[in-house]
Amino acid sequence: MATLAAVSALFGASLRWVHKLSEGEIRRVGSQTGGRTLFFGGLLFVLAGVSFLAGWDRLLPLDSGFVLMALFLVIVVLPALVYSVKEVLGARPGTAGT
Amino acid sequence: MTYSFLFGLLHGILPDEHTWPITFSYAIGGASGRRGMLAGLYFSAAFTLQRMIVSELAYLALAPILLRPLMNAIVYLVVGSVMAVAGATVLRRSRYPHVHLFGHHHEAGGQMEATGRVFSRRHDAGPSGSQEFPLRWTLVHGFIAGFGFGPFSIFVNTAAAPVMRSP
Repeated sequence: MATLAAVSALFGASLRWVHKLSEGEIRRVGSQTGGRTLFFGGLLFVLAGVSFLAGWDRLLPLDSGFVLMALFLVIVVLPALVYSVKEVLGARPGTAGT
Repeated sequence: MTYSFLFGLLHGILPDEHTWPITFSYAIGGASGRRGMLAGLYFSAAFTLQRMIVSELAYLALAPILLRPLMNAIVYLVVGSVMAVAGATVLRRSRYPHVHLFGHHHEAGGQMEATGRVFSRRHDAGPSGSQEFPLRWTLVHGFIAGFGFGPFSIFVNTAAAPVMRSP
């Protein structure tokens, strides 16, 4: 419990290390990133569940949990974060249409 | 008990598909160290409760049923569905079902809202919607995710719990 709380605190604080974002923008990026990782991460987990039921996890050369984590980070978290930051920066006054 | 405690410490640090995807989403959604920590605490509290129940069931010799690979597949389906619904609800301008207990505090404006309703589907948080991320949902996610079994939980439920001297 203690280590998970500490790791989660680091995750939550990480956006504040980006000094170019205002307080409201940080909250917006966090909210959008969190929502997108929940949604698309959830879809990834559903796909994983279906493939496990079909027995496809036995075809993987690596541990299925490790593969799932790696896929979550690479194809869900990183794109969600980049897209959310771009979305928020694009919504700044004076950047419309650029 | 000592090994269980040490494995628990290790499990919290190592990336795991049953914990990090969910806690990361809520922690980053909280957008602060304090709210990230709360997300981790809520999740791990519910996770701990679930693991307490399952290790007791393992003590009662129900581990062979609970540790079947089929359980992991079903857990992924349920956890994924709950995550997707939660994410879709949050992305829809952050209006979401949540429980009112003893009043309800919103950060914006610092207003204390008192209502007789227990469940509320929407809040009038202005045209842009509330940006407060529903951290307490991690309680539900944590309890469900606890049904997923990895190496650490397999140790607890097959080696540690069954040899305990009493329930």
